[in-house]
Amino acid sequence: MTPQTSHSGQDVPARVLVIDDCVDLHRLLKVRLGAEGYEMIEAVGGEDGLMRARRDTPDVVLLDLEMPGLDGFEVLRALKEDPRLQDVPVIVLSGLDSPGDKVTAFDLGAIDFVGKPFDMAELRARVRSALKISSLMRMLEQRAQLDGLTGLWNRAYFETQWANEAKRARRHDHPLSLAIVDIDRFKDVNDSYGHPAGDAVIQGLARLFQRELRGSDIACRYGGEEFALVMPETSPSSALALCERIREEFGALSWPRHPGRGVTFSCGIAGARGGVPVDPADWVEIADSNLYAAKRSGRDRSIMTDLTPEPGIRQAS
Amino acid sequence: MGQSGSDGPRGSALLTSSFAEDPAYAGLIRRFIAGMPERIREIECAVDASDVDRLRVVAHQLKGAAPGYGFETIGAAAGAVEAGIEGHAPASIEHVRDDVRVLIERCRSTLPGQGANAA
Ligand SMILES: [Mg+2]
Repeated sequence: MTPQTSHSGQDVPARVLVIDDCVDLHRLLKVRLGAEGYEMIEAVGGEDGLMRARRDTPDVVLLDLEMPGLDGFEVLRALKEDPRLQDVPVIVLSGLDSPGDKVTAFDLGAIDFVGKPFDMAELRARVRSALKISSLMRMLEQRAQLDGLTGLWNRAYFETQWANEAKRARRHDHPLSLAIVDIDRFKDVNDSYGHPAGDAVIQGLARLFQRELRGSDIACRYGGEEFALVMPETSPSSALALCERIREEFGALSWPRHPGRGVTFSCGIAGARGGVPVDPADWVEIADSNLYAAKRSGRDRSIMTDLTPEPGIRQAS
Repeated sequence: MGQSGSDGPRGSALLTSSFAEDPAYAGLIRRFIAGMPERIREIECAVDASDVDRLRVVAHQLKGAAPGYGFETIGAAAGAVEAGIEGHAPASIEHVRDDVRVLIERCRSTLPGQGANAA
């Protein structure tokens, strides 16, 4: 996965999930909000609402408080505890309008509170505003995880995603590979041709990653001229083959600022064909030490370790 | 925006939605009125069964939804029933009998042929 700058809410209609036990209210909102171009999803109770939220991941939730069974406060709490749904803005739409109810709703994470009966124009404006705020929040969050020079994910993003992927692979006994890539003699490029030339090399390699990696792979700028590639569902040998292909392509590139001087990279890979009891930090260290082994043995090569029980080390150059 | 019809105790003129002129609401209002006999029956059943909880839920929902269809006075009457129930602990139907009568009259006056004119 390389970062996306667009997000839902642009071309796709926003999904509005209404959780309310009052059928008259559903009918009203379906027509009056539906006319705004939203995709309306109805749930007539708390349990149903949570189920629909988990299944359809709405862009905004309109939540009644007073419902038989699971009430609105309980639904709100469950939504905010679900990592996949906690950022979905929830507008409480309720006939309970004591200050205490409002405070509780906001404390539980509601973005807004609209009393019933409500004015339709006001509700529409509040829905628009909630959607706008959440899209700005998403943009900010994503920007904080992006590398400015390359548009790849940054190291902070790598740290959280790598831990997640390692955990997931181990739990589900799935393959996972990690590659750490470092541009060879990068300081020479900078010193000989200037920093803009160095930047162009970094950007060129980032573009290559974006082109060659699959949607589920995560390419990050790990440090100055260092990159980390997280490859879920990828055996170490497939990761090696992919990195080798990219390495060859990269080495063959011609650089407008220094046409006579090609650039290469070295790569350390650690991967497993199934879940292995390796700590994510140790895993990074193994990939890193392979990278240094590749550097020491002459650069422009990849060294891979297969962490699956009968371990072996293979080298390619 | 005003609603037509008086809310006198003995029947009334036809109560129409304050959104009646808005074509976007035509279908919504029609369906809302079509559901009115069922809503009235639900209120009457709750009263007959002295089911205060059920009555409170119906009133609570009408308070929230009726103004959205342009029936503000129904919303207000339903709000009075809800408040009457919540104002007494334990509440009984007796506490809100007058408020319920007003609510049912207003609901009924949305139905063509049910107002004083037809009586
Ligand atoms: Mg409710």
